[in-house]
Amino acid sequence: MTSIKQFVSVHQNGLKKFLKFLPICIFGFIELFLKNRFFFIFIVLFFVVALFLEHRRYFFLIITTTLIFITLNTLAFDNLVSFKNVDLPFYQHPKQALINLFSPNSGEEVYPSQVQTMVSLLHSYNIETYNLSDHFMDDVETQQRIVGAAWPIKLEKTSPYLFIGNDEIQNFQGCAIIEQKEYVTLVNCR
Amino acid sequence: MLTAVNAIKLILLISLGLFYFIGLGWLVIGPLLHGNLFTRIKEFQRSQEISLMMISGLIINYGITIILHSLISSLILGGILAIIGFSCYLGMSYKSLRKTSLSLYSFYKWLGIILVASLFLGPIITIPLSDWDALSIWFLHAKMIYTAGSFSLLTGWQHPSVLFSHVDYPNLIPTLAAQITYLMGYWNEYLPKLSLFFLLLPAIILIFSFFKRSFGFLFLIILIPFSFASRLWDGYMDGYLSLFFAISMLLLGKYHKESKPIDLISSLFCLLPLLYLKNEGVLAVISGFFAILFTLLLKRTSFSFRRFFKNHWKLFLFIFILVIPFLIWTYYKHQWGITSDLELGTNQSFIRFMNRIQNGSYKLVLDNTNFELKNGLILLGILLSASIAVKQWLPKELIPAIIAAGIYSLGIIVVYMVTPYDLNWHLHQSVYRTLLTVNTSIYVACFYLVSFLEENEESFKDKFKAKAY
Repeated sequence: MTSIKQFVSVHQNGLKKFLKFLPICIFGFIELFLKNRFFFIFIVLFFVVALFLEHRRYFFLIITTTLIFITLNTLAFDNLVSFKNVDLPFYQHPKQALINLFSPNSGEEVYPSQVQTMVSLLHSYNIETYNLSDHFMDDVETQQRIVGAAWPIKLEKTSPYLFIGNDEIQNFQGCAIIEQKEYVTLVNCR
Repeated sequence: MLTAVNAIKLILLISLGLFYFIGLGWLVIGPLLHGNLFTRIKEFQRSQEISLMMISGLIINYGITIILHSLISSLILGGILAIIGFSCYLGMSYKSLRKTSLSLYSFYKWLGIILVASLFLGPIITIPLSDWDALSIWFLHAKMIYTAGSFSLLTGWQHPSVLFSHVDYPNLIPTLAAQITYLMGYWNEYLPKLSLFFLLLPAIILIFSFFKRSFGFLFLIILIPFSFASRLWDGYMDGYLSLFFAISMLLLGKYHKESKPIDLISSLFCLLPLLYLKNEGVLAVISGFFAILFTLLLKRTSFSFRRFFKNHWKLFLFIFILVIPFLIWTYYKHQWGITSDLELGTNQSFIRFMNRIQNGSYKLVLDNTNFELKNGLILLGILLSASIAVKQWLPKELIPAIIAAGIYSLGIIVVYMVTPYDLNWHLHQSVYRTLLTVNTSIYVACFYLVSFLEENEESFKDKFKAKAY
C-alpha cells in the first residue's frame, strides 16, 4: 500500500497526464472503430499539441480549428450564401415576392407540368372527383402532387372522369375524350 | 403603390400574429411566473418571457382549434382571449417599464434577434412550397383544414387518397398555416409558409438569451440555427424539432450552471412544441425528460419528488394544460381509426426487430447513424481533447445534452429496426433528417465546451494581467 502511495506521489504528474490521455484514447478508439481513421489521428495529435500548450494561451488555435471544421463539414456557410441569394433580391426589390405572397393560387409552377394541366382541366370543367390511369397512379410524384394541388377536388376510384396519358387513348376506347392536352387527356368513362 | 400596400399587409399580418400569440401566451405565463396577470412580481429576462409566451400561445391556439373544430370560431375565441391577455400584458409592461430603462446589452440583443429573424423571413416567404414532405404531408394537411374550414372529421383525414400523407402526424403548423390562409381568404404556395416564421421567432429569441460578445455565442449561432437553416424554411418539421430540442438542452445546461428556475421552465416549455411537430417529438420529449431528471438529481444531494411536486405544482398544472391538445389529438386518432404506418409496439414490429438483429441489418442502421453523426462527434472529440488538456474536469452543463442525444439516437435506431418498409429505402429517405436532432444536441455540448475553453482563456488573461501589474 505504501509502495503504491510512494509511486503515486513520485509519478503524480505523469499519472495526471495518463488519466487525461485515457478518455482521449477511448474516444479515439471509438472513432477508429467507426472507421474514421483520419479523425482518430487528428484528435490524438490535437490533444498532444494542446497538452504542450497547456500553460500558454491557445484559444486562438481552437477558434481556427473549429471554424475550419464548421466550414468544411457543415452547411452553415452554404446556408449563409443561400440567405444572400434570397434576401438581397427580396429586400432590394420586394415587389414580385409580395405579389406572389398575396395572390391566390400563386406558386402553382412548383407542380409537375402534367399536374398543372390536370388541375386546369378540373377547374375548366367544374369536375368534383377524378381518377388516374394506372400509368399516372404508378408515378408516385404525379399521384401525390395531383391530390395536393387539386384538393378539395378528390381522387376517387369510382369517378367517371379519368386522366390518362396521351399514349393510352387506345386502351380507353369506351370512354369519351373531353379534352386532350400536351401530356394528359381527360376522358369520361361513365 | 401595390408593393407598399402588400408590404403593409405583411407587416400587419406579422404584427397581428405576434400580438395574438403573446396575448394568448400571457394567460399561461403570467400566472405561472408572476402568479397573476397584472403585476410583475419577479424579474426575468423579458426576451425569455416573451418567447415562452409565444410558445404557449402557439399551443393554446392549436388547442382551441382542435377543441372547437371550426377555424372561424377558433379565431374569434382565440382573438378575444388574445385581446384580454395582451391588454393585461400591456398594462403590466407599462407599469414595470417605467421603472427600468433599456440597456445597451438589451438593445444589441434585440437588434440581433430582428436581424436574424429578418434573414429567415426572406427565404420563408419567397421560396414556394416545393419539397416532398412539405407538399405531401404538412401543407397538404394545411390545405385540407383550410378548405374544410375546420379541424374535424370533415377535414378528410379518412379519405383514401390522402392516406399516403401520414394523417396521424401532429398538426400544429398545418393548423396555423390553415388559419393564416383562412384569414386572408385564399390559398397559394407561399402564404401558408408564414406559419413557420411564428414558430421560428421564439426559438431565435431564446437563442439570443445566450447573447454575449464572445466566440462561444458566434459558434452557437453558426451551428444553431445556421448550419441547418435550409431545414427551417423548406416546410419540413425536422428542423424545428431539432431546433427546439437543442434549445431545451441549451437551457437545461444553463440551469445546471446558474440555477435560475426560469431556465428550467424554459427548457421544459421548449420540449412541449415537440409533441405538436412530429411523432418523433414524443421520443424527443422522453429523452428531454430524462435529461431534466438527471440534471435535477445531479444538482440536489437530497432530492425528494414529493417536495419537488409540492413546490412546483403550478408548473405541472400549466404543463398539463399545454399537453391537453396532444391528448385530444391522440383521442381523435383513436376515434377516427387513424393509425401510424410504423406499427410500433405490435407483435410484427417485435418480430422484425429480432429478424434484423439476426440477419445483421442492424449494421446498416449503425453505419448510417455513424455517417450522420460523424461530423458532430468529431467536433465534440476535438473540443473534449482540448478541454481535458486544459483542466482535469469537464463542464457538467454538457451532460444533459449528451444524455438526451444518446437516448434519442437509441430510440431512432429502434424505430429503424422495426420499420415495416424496406430498411435501405427508409434510411435513405429520412436518416439525415431524423438524426439532425442528435447532431444539434451534440452541437449544444460542443458549445458548452467552447464556452468553458473561452472562460479558461479569460481567466488566464486576467492572471497574466495581474502578474504584469
